[in-house]
Amino acid sequence: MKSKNFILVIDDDANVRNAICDNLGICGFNMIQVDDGKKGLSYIRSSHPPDIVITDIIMPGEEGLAIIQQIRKMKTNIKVIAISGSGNVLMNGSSFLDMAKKFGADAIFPKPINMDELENTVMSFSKAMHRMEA
Amino acid sequence: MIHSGKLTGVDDNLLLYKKVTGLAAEESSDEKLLHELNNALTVILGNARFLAIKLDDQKNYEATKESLEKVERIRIAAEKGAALVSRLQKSKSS
Repeated sequence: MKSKNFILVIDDDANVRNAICDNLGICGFNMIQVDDGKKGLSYIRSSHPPDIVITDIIMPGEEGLAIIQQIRKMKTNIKVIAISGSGNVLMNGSSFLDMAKKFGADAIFPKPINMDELENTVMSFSKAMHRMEA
Repeated sequence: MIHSGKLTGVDDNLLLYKKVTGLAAEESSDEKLLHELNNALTVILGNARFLAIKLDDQKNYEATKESLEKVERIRIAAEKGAALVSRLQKSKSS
């Protein structure tokens, strides 16, 4: 059984990435962060992919929805958490985070992120993964 | 095609993706500002929480207690800011 899950954080804002990594890092998770989707996808496609991906939705270059789509095409067990600070509501009444859920995100968090809830979600994903491996 | 709440057709996904990214590019300057404010509030709240956890380990010291009170004030102010941004975003969407 793996002791600590590997979590990848993708966000173009360094301070947001650091805040997430600091708060989850003190729980013992192995955190890694990148500033764009292309770098994130190279980690995801590597021989040691992350267990959980936390990705922003609106970023320059490769956007969060495309990343979620790529992960779901790979048929892996990677858990995906989408985050967004946009309050935009689309014509069908959905938000960007609603769209992320439809694209296959396992959980969604509006910014400002409630770190207690994020930690609880990550913990529950981690426990479920460990149960599957046992 | 939506199945169990998730999109399953690749073409549908691509179509929706194009729509969503198009709208992201068209965010008004006000919406971009609110978006950036939410990023800033994530940083303030996240760092306040991290500091509170770290300081809590040493709460017997008077100076640390005072620091914890200050961190709590930062957190409360940022929560108020977050509620205001949320209200602004909702009023812009309606």
